[in-house]
Amino acid sequence: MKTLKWRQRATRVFARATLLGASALLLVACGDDSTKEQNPLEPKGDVASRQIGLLKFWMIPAAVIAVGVLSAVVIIAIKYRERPGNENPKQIHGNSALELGWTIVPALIMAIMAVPTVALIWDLDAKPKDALEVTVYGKQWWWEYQYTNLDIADPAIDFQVNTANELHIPSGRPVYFTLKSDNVMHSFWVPSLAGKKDVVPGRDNKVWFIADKDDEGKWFYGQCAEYCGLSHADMRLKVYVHSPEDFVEWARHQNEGWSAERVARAAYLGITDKWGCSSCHFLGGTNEDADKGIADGSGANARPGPNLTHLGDRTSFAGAKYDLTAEKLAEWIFHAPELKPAQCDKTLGESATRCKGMPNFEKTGMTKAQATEIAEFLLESEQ
Amino acid sequence: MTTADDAVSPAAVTSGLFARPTKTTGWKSWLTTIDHKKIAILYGSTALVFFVIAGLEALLIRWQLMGPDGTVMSAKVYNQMFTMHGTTMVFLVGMPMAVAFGNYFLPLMIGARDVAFPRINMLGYWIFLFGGIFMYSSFLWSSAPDGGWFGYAPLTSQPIALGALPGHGPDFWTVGLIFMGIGSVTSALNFIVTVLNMRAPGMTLLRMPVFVWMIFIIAFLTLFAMPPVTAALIQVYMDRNFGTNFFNSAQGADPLLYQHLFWLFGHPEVYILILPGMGIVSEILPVFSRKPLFGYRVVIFSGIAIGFVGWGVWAHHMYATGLGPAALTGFGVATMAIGVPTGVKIFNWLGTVWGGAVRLTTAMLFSLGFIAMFTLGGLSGVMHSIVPSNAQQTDTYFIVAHFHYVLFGGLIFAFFGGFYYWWPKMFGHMLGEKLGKINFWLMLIGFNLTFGPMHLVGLRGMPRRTYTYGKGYGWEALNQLESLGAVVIAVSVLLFVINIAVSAKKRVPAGNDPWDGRTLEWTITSPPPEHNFDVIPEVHDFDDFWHKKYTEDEDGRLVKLTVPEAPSKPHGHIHMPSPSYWPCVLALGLPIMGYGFVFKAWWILGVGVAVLMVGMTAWAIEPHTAEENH
Repeated sequence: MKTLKWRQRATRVFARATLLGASALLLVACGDDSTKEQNPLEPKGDVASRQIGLLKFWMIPAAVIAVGVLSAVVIIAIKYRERPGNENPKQIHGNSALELGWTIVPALIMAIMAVPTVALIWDLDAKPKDALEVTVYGKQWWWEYQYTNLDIADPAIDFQVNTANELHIPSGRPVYFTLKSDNVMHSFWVPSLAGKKDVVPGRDNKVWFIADKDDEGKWFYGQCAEYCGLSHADMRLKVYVHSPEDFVEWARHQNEGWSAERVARAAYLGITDKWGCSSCHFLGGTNEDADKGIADGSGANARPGPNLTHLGDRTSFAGAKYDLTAEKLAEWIFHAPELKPAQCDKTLGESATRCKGMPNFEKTGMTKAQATEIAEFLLESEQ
Repeated sequence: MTTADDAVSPAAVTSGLFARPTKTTGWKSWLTTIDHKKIAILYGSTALVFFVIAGLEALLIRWQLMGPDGTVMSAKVYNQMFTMHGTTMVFLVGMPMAVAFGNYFLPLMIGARDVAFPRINMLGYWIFLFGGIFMYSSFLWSSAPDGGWFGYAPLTSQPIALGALPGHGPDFWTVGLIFMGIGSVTSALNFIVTVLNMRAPGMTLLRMPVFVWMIFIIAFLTLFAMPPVTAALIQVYMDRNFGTNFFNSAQGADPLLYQHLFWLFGHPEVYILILPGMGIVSEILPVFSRKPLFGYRVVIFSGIAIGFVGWGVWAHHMYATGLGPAALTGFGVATMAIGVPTGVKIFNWLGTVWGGAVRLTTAMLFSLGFIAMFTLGGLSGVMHSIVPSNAQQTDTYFIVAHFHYVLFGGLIFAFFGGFYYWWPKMFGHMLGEKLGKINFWLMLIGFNLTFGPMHLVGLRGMPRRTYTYGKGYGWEALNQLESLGAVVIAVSVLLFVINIAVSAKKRVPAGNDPWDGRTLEWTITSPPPEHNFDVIPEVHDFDDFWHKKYTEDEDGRLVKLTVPEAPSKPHGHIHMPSPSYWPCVLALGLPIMGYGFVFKAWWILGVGVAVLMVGMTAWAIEPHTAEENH
């Protein structure tokens, strides 16, 4: 080893470092299971594709400039290093032609970039034709969806549908969202389908996207992208793409409330009464006025917690943070703030309706067995 | 020597409750000093302490995010950490460190003996220090600010009882920032008046060093940017504590007003932070290339252009808020336009080094690193102007990567370059070059390891300000790399601190002009005497000192002159303004008032006002010079 010249040694070190770097990159590229990716770089549907297309267009001049400047820095630092015996440098104070050049060229690049940018800004702002319309309510910290014009999909459907966190859409049809909040700002974002749009109290912001036929049967992930307080990180969402026919079926099913027998069992378990679940959650079939409110839209955004009527059909809960299993749900009902931070502290009083997030029922005297019973009841898909 | 302090009428000399302090040595003198160089060292060392604190907060953040479902911190504590990291780095590190460099070198570089208002200068420092301590004292009530450094309404402005952010976090934040804004405005005014009134004979505006120009520009930016944010902060405080409806949409207010006011300050603030860095680099590159700055006027005027256009791009922080296509088009194009003067500077710096005689000192390495990293930050910055694709990147880690390339790869690299470059002047001894170079390379590697992968993880959909993320999003490996990089940065900062200690022990004398410098500060002893210049220099050229040492032959090549001018002796006694107790007392009133505002304890507010009034009155009537100095 001692005979190795420093150059050889340096080459060796460099080779090892390269290998290490490459394996790290490989790890990055295919290390994780990709079930929950919400990656804008793999866009689905027209909106996300066109948005990311602009970015890719800019990457070409950006890469050229980056490589150019970085190599220039390295080259001049090495080439012009002061060495004994070198001539003293020429004192150049500037060069008007050159400076004008490197002002005009970037300005031209920017002007070229501006054309497709401005065009797409106006394009995406226009409301698409024949869109399915959904009102999105940003809550602390979950999403409520109210489908307001299902009748366009099927004239026989003259009711509205309400659900939470998991959004269902048909393929091949634009979905046009109206974003509302009565608390703080949020940002509605499904990266695979479209860029984000903020949910600003007092403003009805609009955004739309479309999924292709190829995307049918797929889940897309998203989450709140504007800091909205304590549990901002746990305000996630999922989107499921149906075929247009399946979507109508799904909507019909969502409109059905609990049967009288099921309502009676819910009362027996204390869901509608003792534990007061229905003071925060909509439970279809338990209250006729509330049912009407959902069907005609006047009862949207009326409760601090999500609609649980068809919880059994969902795949996740708690702002789509957890996969839905009876065990996890029971744990959640028992002591939710340990699974997802909630604000129910003394400054707010102990009243559950003043809570932001699901309160702790262990503290109100619920047993683990009772929580399990309730969880199992809620997950029964048979109505 | 004429400073504004001297302009006090003779009658004031005899009044005053106490005599002015006279000591200019010993630890007590640091409490009362009004020497711009000592104040600068106070600013710098305090900012360095806050830099370490905010760095530790960043390490905690990286520890939490090292893997999915991190449990190092609760959501509440994490939210406090990212809020305090951002707030500290912007208001307690970036701005005061620029003021530190400006305070020390701006008067030296224009041939002045002090700034225009020495006591107000000290007041600015005390407000900054007390403001920082005030904000950090919130941890004692576990009520650290947790609304983000941007503090968006209505999250921060909702009445406490509604519980959007329980505790007093946003109150400490709003009140602290309002007070610190006062400090920033005082130093801005001081710089402006100093530059306009106190330049040495012959130091025309277009002979001023670039660093002085950049401080001059940011002083104006600070002066005009602070009022809108102060208004917004007062409104948030009032909404939160007294139920006003500035941002309450239920009463018809528009919460976006807050964002407009905040970013009307916030975007110029970005330039307030980066322009001093550009100034420092523009001093270092010519010295270590033995060539004048390429296109001096272009660099100055592009700085001014940035200063103007910087007011017209604030809404590019708000593309997702629903401004409508007309506003998006306007702000998108303006953002593209501001890329041009910024790009011009990069090419001018390259042109400066091109064909020079390059000495790769630590200061030069940091400056070259600045050019490279800042370019990357600029290129990702241009991406924000592409409004439709920005809808995917905004509020993701891509943005975090971008502004760290600008503010860390840019500003912090420039600060470190400035430390190594000016340390000999400030303390009379060199800062170790060997450790310095390791410091640089570790920081370059650590920095890119931390913030490089953030581009990718952001493009892959990871949002900012999230205390946790789940498994299976494809972010784990990248986050591990980032956390590893953060540790490397920490080691490099530790090396810097060690270097300070080791160099202070070794005390390799610097001499007046260790780097073969170009500007006036290198003509005097290191460290400079209290009065800076024995004889106020007469300036004949840009880079005047250089032209006294060198000339050019017919080819434009450098030729050394053999006759260094002997420094002339001072003509008798040089009168300098005396130290003062009262800036400290006046500033002490502010945090006391602050606790009164936060806890709505009006008697504490009263005590604070009383302290403030005592400080102000005693300041006004104190004799303008100590007896001994007559």
